[in-house]
Amino acid sequence: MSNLDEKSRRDLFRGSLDVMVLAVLADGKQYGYSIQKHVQHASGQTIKAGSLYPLLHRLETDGLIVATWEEDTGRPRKWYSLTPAGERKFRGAVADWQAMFARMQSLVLPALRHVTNHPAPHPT
Amino acid sequence: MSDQEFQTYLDELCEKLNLSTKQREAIAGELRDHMASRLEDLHPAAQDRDVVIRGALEDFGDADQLARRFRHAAPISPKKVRLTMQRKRLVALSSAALVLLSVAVYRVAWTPEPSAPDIADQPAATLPAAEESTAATNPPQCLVETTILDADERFWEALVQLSGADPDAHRDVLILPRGLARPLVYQPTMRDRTARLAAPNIAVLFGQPAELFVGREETGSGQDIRHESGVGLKMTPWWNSDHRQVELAVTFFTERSFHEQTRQPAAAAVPVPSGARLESLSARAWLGHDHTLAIRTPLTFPDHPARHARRVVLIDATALVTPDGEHPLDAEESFTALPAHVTTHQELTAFLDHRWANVLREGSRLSKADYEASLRTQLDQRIETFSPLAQLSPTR
Repeated sequence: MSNLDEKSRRDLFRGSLDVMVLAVLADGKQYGYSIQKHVQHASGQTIKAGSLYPLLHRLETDGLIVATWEEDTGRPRKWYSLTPAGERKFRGAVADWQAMFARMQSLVLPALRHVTNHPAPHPT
Repeated sequence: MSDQEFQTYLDELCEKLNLSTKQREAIAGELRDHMASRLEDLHPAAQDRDVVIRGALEDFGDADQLARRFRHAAPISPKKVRLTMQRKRLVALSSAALVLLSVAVYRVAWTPEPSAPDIADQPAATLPAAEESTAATNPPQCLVETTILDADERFWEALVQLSGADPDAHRDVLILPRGLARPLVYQPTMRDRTARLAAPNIAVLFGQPAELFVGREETGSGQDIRHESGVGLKMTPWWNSDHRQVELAVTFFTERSFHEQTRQPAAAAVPVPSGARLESLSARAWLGHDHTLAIRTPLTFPDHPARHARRVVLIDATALVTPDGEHPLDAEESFTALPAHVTTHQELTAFLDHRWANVLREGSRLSKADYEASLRTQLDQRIETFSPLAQLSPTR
């Protein structure tokens, strides 16, 4: 069970959605439904198709992903893959994320050690 | 709820999309495929087909809202972009004309004191015209794109300064900072794959220090896959069992994170050259930190003194592989021996530069001719100044 409240979790999820989709596509081309399943599996959060498809279209408009239609499965299917710009965006986002995480760690870990070594007294 | 109702939903959505017919058909086709995939996934689980369709429609949400979202995400046509640009240009020109007119009116209406210096006649008076001329030849700053190539070149330049490696002639290692590794399982991007295919002696190395070289298994395809706690590293054929090349292990991380992750005391420390900083987009995760790099040694050398190094060099050879066999090196030796070793193995990079250039240019707008010219210049400069460390034999 998460210690974050529902709203914080949803906000965090929403804020990371672009990067998560780009991360899925970094592995190779995917179609909408498979992206949805990947993201849900990795994040444990539900991403609505009604949010995912407009997001994919926006990323496509921004030139971060590119789509092609194929009929290998017997019906038309739209496959998305990362463009070089999308790859750069993904790298930059992950680098930012890592840097932020490192800074958070430098703040949180010493504090956690302090709290662990000096627990607050129980209220009487 | 039935298939017909799904079709009704699509019709309603398309009606509200307010996009071109082609765009509407594309969206409907994509949602149809989504529904079909979902049915394929869920129907065998003995779920009622109507229940599945209802679930999918809930997943899509209200048609009106979905249509609005699609409209917001719709691409602007090139024609619209051109019109917008033309409009902006027109506004800019009108503004410039207005400023010039104001200046002219101001000069006519206001006569300066005869004794005062005539500021209006000073060179500054020609500023608007000069600005206009500059604007005509140079694109606005916001349109100047820093290419990944620029970043990579700066990055390699930094590597040259720090390690003495010759990146232009021998790009034996493609380095990805750990920030590029995915948190769980690294999946190489197409660009990585392209690079690997183009240059089999390129290694893509990344990861947390404690996570490298923990395990290895050979796959049927002849590639090594390294596994460790949750992170799988797909390595290039460079790591194949023949070990044709020097084994390089490179990883970047901050001193703090290394300390936090390994809990190891500093040992066999080699300071980073004074004043060394990496400046590149690729490396921006490191900016603001004291960048260090640790040498990680393969399992074959578990007692390597550099295994717990905290502050080392940027590129390190942990062992040299020659026809005589493998030769482990300590940190200092490997630091100095690497350039020499790479230099003596030119045959491994025979076609690397050309292919590598293509890979690099893929993400930039640099023409092939320009890239080759740039590479040639840098190579020439390098040849003039590069003195192979031949006296440092890679074999011991």
